[in-house]
Amino acid sequence: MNDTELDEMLNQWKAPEPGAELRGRIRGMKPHKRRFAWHSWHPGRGLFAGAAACGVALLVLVGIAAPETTAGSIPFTVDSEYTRHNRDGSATITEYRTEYMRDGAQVTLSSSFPDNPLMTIHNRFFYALQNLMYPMVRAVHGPNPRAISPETVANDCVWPGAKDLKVISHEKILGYMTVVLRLPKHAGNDGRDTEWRAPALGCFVLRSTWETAETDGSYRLTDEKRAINITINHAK
Amino acid sequence: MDTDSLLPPLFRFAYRMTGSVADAEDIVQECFLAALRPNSAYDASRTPMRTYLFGVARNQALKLLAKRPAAAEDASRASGAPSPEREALDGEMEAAVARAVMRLPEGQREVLILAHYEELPLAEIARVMQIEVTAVKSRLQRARAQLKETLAAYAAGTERRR
Repeated sequence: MNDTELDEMLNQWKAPEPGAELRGRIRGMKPHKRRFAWHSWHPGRGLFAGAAACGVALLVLVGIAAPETTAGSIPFTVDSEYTRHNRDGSATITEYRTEYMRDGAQVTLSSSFPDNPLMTIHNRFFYALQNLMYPMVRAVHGPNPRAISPETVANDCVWPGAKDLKVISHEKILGYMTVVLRLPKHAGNDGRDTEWRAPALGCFVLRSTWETAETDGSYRLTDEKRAINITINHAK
Repeated sequence: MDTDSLLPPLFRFAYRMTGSVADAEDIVQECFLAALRPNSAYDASRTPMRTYLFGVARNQALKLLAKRPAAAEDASRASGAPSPEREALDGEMEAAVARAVMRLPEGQREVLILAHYEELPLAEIARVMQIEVTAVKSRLQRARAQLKETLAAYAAGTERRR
């Protein structure tokens, strides 16, 4: 028997065609919609999702409410802008920040990044949470060891034991007299760090600059923080 | 999904695998249900619908045959329900072919049905059965050799009648 003969024989076996009823049944089938299946639900997933949602909601609430609620209990706030100075002479504002003085340390109340809304949201939550947690941190770790003491304020914002810290001059910023301090150089960095601290505001930094050293020995301003508004909370 | 064009070959394949119209209907229905389920394993980017459905049909048929192994031996069912006229015309030829195919080892039978009756390319048969193309070729050769041997007597009888 050759292949053709075998094929002819095999073709003798006819299969019936599917019936009309089966055709109708198949045609009438619709894709099932995905439903919530209780059997596949695990309590852990729900708890985790719930906890995560609560956490996010709390952060949002804290982020929205905390700056305003804290603002009433502090003596003053300072709004500053941070600027990046480019080599071609142009400048870009990179951040706006509102700060205040708490227990001798500058604390950020809120900040925003003009070119980075995601960073703005992130920092808003971060600072709000940090402020919320502060009483607990303070209770556990005690006062900030780097806080500016009343003695430092009285000593023209020069903290005791500071090495290579120079008072360059005194300048008025937004109506407040400041002490211009040239900070000690950082190891391995030839840049120049300068701060304008206001004793009347607990040595708050109203201005600061960072200058990088050029090859010819000169300095070029690259980063600057500058106070643009001071709000005194008279209710306090 | 084009059910009108996919249904007949699937039904024929299921019928020839099981030898039963009722089982073939159940298998075909299960194939389409499997494709339409929300958690269906069907991935259009990886497998053509026809290949997927033949794969489901094959699995269903093998499952069913495993439950009732005697079904494969029931050659009279596999030949369908021939009319007296047809029996008179074709004699026992159709039943003999059905019986011979049904008596092939499972792997060879699947390959033969898909290749000869449904004319699927060997590469697609390999995907349906999840084996290598070379294995498909070898199974097909063995199936055809076996059938030539089994059906030789009928072929000779036919020649004599002619």
